[in-house]
Amino acid sequence: MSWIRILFFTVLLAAPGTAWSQATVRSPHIGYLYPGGGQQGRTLWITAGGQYLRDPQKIYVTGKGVRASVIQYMRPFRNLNGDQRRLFRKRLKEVAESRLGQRKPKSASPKKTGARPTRTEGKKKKGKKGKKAKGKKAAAPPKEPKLPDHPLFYGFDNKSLRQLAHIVAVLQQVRGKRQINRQLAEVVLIRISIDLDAPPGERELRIGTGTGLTNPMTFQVGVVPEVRELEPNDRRANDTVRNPEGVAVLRRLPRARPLSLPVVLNGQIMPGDVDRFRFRALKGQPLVVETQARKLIPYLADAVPGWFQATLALYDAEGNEVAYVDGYRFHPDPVLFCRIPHDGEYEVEIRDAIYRGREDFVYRITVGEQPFITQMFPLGGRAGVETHATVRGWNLPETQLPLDTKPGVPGIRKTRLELRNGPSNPVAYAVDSLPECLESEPNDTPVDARTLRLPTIINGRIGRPGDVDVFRIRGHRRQKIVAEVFARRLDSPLDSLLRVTDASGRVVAWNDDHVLKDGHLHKDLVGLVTHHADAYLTIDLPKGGIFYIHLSDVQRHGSEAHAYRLRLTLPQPDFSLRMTPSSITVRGGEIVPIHVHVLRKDGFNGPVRVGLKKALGFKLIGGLIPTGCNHMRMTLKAPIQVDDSPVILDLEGRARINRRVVRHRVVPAEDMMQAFLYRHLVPSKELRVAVTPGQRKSSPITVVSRMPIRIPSGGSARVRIKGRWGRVTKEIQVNLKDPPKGLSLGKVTFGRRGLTFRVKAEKGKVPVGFTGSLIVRIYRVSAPKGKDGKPTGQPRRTLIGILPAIPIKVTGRRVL
Amino acid sequence: MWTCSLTPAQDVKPFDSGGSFEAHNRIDTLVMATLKEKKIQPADLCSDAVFLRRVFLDMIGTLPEPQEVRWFLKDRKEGKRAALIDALFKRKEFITYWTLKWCDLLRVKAEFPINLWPNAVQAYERWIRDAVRTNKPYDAFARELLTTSGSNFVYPEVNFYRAIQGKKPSAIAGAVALTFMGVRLDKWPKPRRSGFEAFFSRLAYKTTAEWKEEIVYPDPAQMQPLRAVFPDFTMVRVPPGDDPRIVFADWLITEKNPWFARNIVNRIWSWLFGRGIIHEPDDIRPDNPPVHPQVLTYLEKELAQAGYDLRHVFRLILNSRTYQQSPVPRSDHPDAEALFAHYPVRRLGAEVLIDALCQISGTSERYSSAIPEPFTFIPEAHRTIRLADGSITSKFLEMFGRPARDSGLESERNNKPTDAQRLHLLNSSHVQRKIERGWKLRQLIRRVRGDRRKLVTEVYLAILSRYPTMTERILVSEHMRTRTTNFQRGAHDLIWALVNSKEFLYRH
Repeated sequence: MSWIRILFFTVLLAAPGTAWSQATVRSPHIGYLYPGGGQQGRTLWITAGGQYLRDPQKIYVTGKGVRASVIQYMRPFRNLNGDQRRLFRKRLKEVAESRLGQRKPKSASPKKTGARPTRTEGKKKKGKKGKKAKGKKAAAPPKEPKLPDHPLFYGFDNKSLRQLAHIVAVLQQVRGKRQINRQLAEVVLIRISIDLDAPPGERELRIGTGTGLTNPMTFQVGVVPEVRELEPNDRRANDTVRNPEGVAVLRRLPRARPLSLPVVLNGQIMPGDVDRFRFRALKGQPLVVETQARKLIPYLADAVPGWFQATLALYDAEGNEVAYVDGYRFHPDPVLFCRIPHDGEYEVEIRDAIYRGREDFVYRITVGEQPFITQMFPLGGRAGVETHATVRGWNLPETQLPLDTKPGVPGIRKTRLELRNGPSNPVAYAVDSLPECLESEPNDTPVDARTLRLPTIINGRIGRPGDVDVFRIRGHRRQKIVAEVFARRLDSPLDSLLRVTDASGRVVAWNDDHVLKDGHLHKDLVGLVTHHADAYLTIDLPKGGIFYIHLSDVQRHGSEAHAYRLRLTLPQPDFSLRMTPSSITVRGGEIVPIHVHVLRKDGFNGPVRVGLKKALGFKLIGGLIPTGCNHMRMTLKAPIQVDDSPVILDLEGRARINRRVVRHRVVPAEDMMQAFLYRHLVPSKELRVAVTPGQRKSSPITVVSRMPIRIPSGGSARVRIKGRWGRVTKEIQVNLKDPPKGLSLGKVTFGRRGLTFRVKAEKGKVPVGFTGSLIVRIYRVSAPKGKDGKPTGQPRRTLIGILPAIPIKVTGRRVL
Repeated sequence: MWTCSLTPAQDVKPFDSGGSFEAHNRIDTLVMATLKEKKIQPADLCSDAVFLRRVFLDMIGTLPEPQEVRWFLKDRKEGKRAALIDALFKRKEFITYWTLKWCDLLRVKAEFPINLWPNAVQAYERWIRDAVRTNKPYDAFARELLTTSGSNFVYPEVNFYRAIQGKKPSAIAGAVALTFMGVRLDKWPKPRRSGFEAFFSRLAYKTTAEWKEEIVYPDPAQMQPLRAVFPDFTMVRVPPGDDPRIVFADWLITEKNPWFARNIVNRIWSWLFGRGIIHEPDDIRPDNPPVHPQVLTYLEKELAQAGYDLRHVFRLILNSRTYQQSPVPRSDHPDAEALFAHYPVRRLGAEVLIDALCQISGTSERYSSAIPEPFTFIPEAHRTIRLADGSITSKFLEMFGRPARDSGLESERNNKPTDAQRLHLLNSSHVQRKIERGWKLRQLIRRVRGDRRKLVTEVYLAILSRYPTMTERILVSEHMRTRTTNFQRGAHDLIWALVNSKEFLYRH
């Protein structure tokens, strides 16, 4: 076992609360969608790979104009057995010869299917089998081999030579280097219809199964025609099959026509795989080749590096490399810009940077003359003030981008240019209510610095390598001033460094990166930024007078693209909220735990009360996030029955800041793991809760003890639970889900008054005054018994229920 | 095509062309002067076949194809050797092979003790490859490696500072001195060393939330002026806010600097001859003098005048008669080899050897790595000289002394023959499979249709890049005649024998 696997399992055991820990309780989970999107006005079949996807019932897609339905669930398919292989070779030969017009296939299905492939194999054979089953009991007929019920073989008789070569190549991959991954092995086949007027962009797709709702997965709606890769395409766009299963024609396939631009290329990179596509381009054509790979699946928990790290290369007809990229600035998804050097055919190549591959290494590549913004200035505007940003990039006939600055919650918004040649890439910008100004060069030294009045936001650029922008402010003793840079969060490559000096040049304070994290859980507004490069400073001025704020790039780079927004204000305490997960499944009348994270700003330390915006019969328990606490486990109780499950819920947090009640939406998010270690809160579009039918007469399990439970530091406190246990008291097991550090479960007993357990607080590990909540799960553990009454096999653990969140407080003195 | 001109007009002289020593360029004049002084007779000019094979192996790490051998030997034009050298500069394999060499020197390795990790390895290797492809001037190449700041994925050249065992100024200074000055810092007295180390004391490293991303940058916390000492004992004061690495690079990359150009021209010489004018090539010090000091000075000047174009130095050396000498010595003077009185023979490097075996047989090697997840599988079409990562290896590569890329020392590559290597070539299923199952050899045997004469010619061209001599023809024919078994087995015997010959295993 490689050390990386050992690390993986260690991390799994040590860091629950992730998508992985959900998988251990058999929550349905999507690992990938292939293809990861489709064109407006098209109906297509896509596959969703994952785990525990059995019994898929309904597909939920966010936004307007996209409808989806389940076609079929398929078990993991690994390889053909001997009989299947023989049958496959026979059929392959027949169909290939038929395509060449030499002779018609003997077993060709006469079904006309049009463009859509049909599932001929499975169903036809099933019918025959059914008839035979009714016959005599005596001699069982020999089992007729059939090809697996897998989309790869659907409409086999109607496949073209290239499609046949694709099947052969895919089967060869299966035999070769694939590592078994249960988290991706199951497949659901989905039909998706996209309306012509469906807004282009990102959607989220969830599958509702018999056991619950899956996590959301990105699905893109595009505007240009799309194609899917056909293997083999490793060395050339239309390569030949190395070992064509005895069908010589597959070795010399007819040359396919080059693709017309614009086009979206869809594919999957399997282990060691390289995919190539051929197209024709004209001299001088300003080509933009934009990849979406990490954008489709932001983080892979069990991959190192923690996402599909794509590279793009462009080759001319002679096989010479014209261009190569392995990213776009700090984004892992490469974008290749190329002015075509001469008329002719070109091939675009995609692969993983280090030749890994798996089913979830899914990509979409847009090739064409689509507009692409590479830089924008300013990076935002004041709420309510008409603002236009100047943009530069590729294929941009317009350079003015109007920004929507309608008053609302200050923060980051996204927009794009809608042009004749299509929509541009989305760009991020910030809107705030504070007054704004533009930096003016020269301002590299304190002598040239401009004096600013607080509060203000400066829009500027580190225009060249080594550039420093200096601003002058006046403050008085013990005044608190906040300096915050918004750059990386707005896609600027700037790695900002803030330095505050007094009039004599002495450094009062400085900051490089400002990271909000909790262990390995990174909390930022965007969720996809892995380098928290934006500097942030709270300065307690040691004396009154003049101070200088120096802003530069710590890596000493600089360009027109290195734009920033610098906020210089007095502290503006505020907060934002995230909750995980964004897909919840709960049985009617029962309880499910959720996790709410507070991102505190400018020294805000007060309590936040979280509640449901519209209850819809749900109840949120333990919704108070105490002073100084950055995350809280809460429980959500579902109504017995919900008419239209899954429902979309909205949570809201309230806090009193400067005698004013501030409300913010709790943004649903997924707690995603990257590379076995780092975790990120990736925002979702909505919180969906699926309520499965509950037992109307089920007796609830409740906490009888007085709350909050006060646990003495270094001691323990008793928690009494009421419920109907019947005769199974010996089989009951209590479990604390992700308890705060230093808190653990003590003795569990059954008495006359019901179930009692103790919670221990380890001295030194949990501070006195700590407040939080406990999520307690009650299990029944039973072992199957043999004829002799002795237990056989592994004991089974069944979840009986989850208790409402139990508020706790760690105290300094002993409480009886 | 391949059937034309099976044999040359007259019998083959495998190694020499004879003739007196005629200087091709200034290098030869300077070398000859020293040899005359020491009364050493230089070797003859090598034969065309030997030159072709040598220059292919030295420039592109690849054997010439039989057709290329035929064309070159048939060509009677003056200056065909120079034309071949120019043509080889344009080959893709030139980029691949010299990227490999630079990756050895710059320690491009994912795992312990370098710990660059796979994604940085691919980015760094790509940067080096681009530099070789675009023939980046050496001064710019060195400057970028020494002074760039940024993420190891976005600015791959910063991996120079990560591919060092340790992040202390002493470790960094040691790597910089070894790479760009050919100096082993541990041989310097401590005060001199510490003055030099100060240039690298203001370097900071920060990680991000991306797996193994590391940003190398000037430490913003250090705002005091810095005192440092250049290797030529000049003291310098670096003002606050300035990056001392840039100050050092400005000093290093000048024509007057006694180390910078000398180190690289000596290395190039060593890469082409197997030993440097100063030997070891990374141990330049006053008590280790060059054997041809004038040659070194001449090449240094040429490099600077050519705008630090390394290919210019390659061209000068490759076109010299000194390089084109026969490997057969004409002098038994003990210093003949060290003074380059003949071409020094040496075993093929591990990567070149396995590629040669694959090229002859039409087979490939499978390389994979279990460090990343999911595992890396290098496409089979990739040659071994294209392996970016020093951690991705095979038993064969280990056995044949591929450098570990742990220190950047030239001596890490071990080309000494061992018993294990001999046994592997003589008696392993690995080599046997290649000989028996490789599609190229199978096709070759099928095509000659039982004609022994044709077989011998084709096999010699493919493996030794030359026509067989009359004696060899007779020997092989006798061997095949005495065997009562089939033609194919006889052919396999011949291939096996040639693969195990020193002529195949050695650069000569």
